[in-house]
Amino acid sequence: MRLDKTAGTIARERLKCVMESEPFDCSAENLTQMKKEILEIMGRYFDLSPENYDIKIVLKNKKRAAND
Amino acid sequence: MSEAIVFTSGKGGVGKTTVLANVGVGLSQLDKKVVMLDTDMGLRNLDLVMGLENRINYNILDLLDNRCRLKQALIRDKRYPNLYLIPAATKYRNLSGYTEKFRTLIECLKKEFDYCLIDCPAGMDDGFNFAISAADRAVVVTTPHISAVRDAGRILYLLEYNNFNKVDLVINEYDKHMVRRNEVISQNDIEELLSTKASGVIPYDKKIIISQNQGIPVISLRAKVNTHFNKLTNRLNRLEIVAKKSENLAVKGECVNET
Repeated sequence: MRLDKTAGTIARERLKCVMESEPFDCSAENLTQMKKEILEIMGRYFDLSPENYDIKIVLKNKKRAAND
Repeated sequence: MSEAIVFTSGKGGVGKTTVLANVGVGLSQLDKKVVMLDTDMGLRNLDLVMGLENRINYNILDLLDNRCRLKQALIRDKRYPNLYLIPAATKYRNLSGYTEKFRTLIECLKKEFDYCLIDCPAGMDDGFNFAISAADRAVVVTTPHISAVRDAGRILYLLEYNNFNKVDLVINEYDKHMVRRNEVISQNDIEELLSTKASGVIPYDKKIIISQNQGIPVISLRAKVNTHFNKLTNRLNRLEIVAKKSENLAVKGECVNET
């Protein structure tokens, strides 16, 4: 159960997960897994802990989002 | 110069019509000539919210099909200086063939009005595409509900895809007490999730539903929420901002000439 978190925090986390993966037509788990792998690769090149940066994927062509 | 602004949200019931009606009245009180168009065919409600449901003779499809003249479809709201309504049709029809005619209508209206406010249906299919087809700008209405935020995200995406570069976000039904207790998503969270700053935040106010029941837009009554509607109206009144800027420039130019 997620009772240790408030409803607002849960909502934010769930939304973040869903909204990030939606434009790519891929599941939230797949995206999380992919990010984990990217983090591993980045770890080989930079001396950074994952808390210090964020991975954001920006779609330049919005066509997929528009379903055509 | 005039502008057509579409009010959209993706999800239904978040307050597109309510926000549009009050902004419409607000703009008309700022001495702007305003026409409100309802494009929610089959589920028209703007007439009811405005209290003008008994004055409808013709609707927007009658106009687009040339069954009436523009003057006959325009309902003047006599309570306000320069406010008009064109209601939606009650029967749903396939709108794909009407887009070109709708664009022509808006171009024609823009010659006479400062603002054309278009009430978009919920969803993101042909009704949505019809409503946004003639607009210069968009206002996306959302609430702190997770479903509304997600849908607003989709709509913002679609608007960007359709080359809208002037989009305003409005957060409606905002309950700051629930936010303080961290029970709902905050304004900051919504802005971050949608990568967009809100142009207006409308708090939850019982007066809104009470005034709608009476057919009077809340902005013309005494209510706490009105400071927020007025602020939003001023923000959206961009024609005024542009005009003021050029005025300032002109004044500066004069000063330079004098010295």
